[in-house]
Amino acid sequence: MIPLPVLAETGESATRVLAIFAGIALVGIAATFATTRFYARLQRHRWVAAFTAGGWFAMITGIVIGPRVLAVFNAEGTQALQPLLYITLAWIGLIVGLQLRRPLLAAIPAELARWIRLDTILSVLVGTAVAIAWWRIMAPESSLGTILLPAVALVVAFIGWAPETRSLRPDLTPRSGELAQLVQAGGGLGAVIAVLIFGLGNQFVRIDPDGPIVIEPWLGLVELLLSAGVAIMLGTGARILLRRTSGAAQESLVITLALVLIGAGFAAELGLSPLLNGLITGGVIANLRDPHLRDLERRLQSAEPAMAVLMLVACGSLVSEIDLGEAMILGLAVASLRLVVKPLIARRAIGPGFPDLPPRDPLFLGPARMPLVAIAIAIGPAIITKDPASETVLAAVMLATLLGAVSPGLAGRRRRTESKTSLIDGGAGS
Amino acid sequence: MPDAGHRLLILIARNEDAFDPLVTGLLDVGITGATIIESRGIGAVIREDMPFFAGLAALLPEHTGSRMLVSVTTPDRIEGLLRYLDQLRPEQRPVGAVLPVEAVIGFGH
Repeated sequence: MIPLPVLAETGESATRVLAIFAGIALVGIAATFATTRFYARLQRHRWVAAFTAGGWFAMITGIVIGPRVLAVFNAEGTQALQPLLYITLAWIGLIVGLQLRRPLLAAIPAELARWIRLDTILSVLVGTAVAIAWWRIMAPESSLGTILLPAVALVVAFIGWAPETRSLRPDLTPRSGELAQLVQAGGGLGAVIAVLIFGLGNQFVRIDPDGPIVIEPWLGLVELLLSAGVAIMLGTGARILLRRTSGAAQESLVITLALVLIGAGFAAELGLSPLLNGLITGGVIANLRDPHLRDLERRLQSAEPAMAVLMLVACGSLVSEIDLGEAMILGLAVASLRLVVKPLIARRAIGPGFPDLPPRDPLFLGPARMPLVAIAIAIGPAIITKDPASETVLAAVMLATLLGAVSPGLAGRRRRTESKTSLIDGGAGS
Repeated sequence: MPDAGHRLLILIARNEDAFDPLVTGLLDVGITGATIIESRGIGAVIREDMPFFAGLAALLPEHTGSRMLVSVTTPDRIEGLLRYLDQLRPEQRPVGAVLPVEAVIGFGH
């Protein structure tokens, strides 16, 4: 990257300097706006909640500052972002893994377990069919080694759904609250399953800057054990360090950052998935049940929106050399299939438990929305290989996420009479 | 028996760490009657309503450690308490308000 003052001295680069400043100002304005009380109030609005959870604002900001528009980042610049993205992914893995507390897992109701099981099986089947069709039709020249990881990322993009439910509840009735709780919990559980499947796949097909390599199964297992060992070391290490602090916020912040940085560093050095590494570490921390670690958990969880925004801005600026047509077809296919298949599975799995809610209730359509963890998964192969197939999958997942964020709201819009009837029925039933 | 000369004290301890010194302060100045309510800030509600990655916690919503304390007491005790709270570390200090009381009911049962 050329320093800005040097760049500004050359006349033809003045526009580029201006574009870079405009990009930085845009990110600053967006970040400032996201912390205002006005924005917090807006988030209570259904449509704003859907757009925010779907990542519209952050992704569009990323695309605007990316190589296609303002070009704040060029190809060289995005490579420099790699360590930051590794840290972000490790942090996201930790947030997902912190859900794996024993009491929480024990509280999973049978109907939710059944729903997730059915959803995962059907999602993998549909996703595999889509991935094979994409390979055979759109990328037949790619070898299996090159295509395997983006294809696995494409398959897991069908698993789970976005856990946000605020935008799916036009009627705040107790029954819709119960269903929203299941949708939210299912979204969290789906994220765990998706990270596990992709992370385990990543153990056996490794991405190096020179290209993907298939490694020996025994070596993959050894590295998985190593990953678990690192997670236990980090969890217990954090506990020991936190016990020695005075309790000041600054000290625990340093330990929190050290935990994430060391975890991301180990993953990068050993070629492991930072998401899987983070997930295992999060699971270890959550189950150590030490009061000192509760603060650490809260600190890690409170960064969830910031990590999501960072990831979405980065992925928006990453997709530069994609075949836009191919990505759009793939993205539309993913979003459409999810919109058809997911609500069917939801109604079949948990619908009988909610006969008083209309079949077109937005909460049944909610699982059609892509989980943001699908982007976190697809971003890994794209940042390391810069392979067009990986970038196409990332762009398709992003597009499906954008479309999915608003599709349940549109498809679930009820007619006036239907709305009144459902309210009366809901009121009588509750 | 509280009368109109009393004040309504509302304090919010933001976490467990801030709650213990608050109780110590209350007892030290002689406020032994108070109601404690588990509470949560609007930020926690928004985070819970709009998770990005982790939704499983919806099954067992956890308290944030934030607690609200309500008490009707005398102005001199409140003054003593505020002096004590002023000596705490900023992160341990509760947020709150003191309001005049027009009438009270239900005390002394």
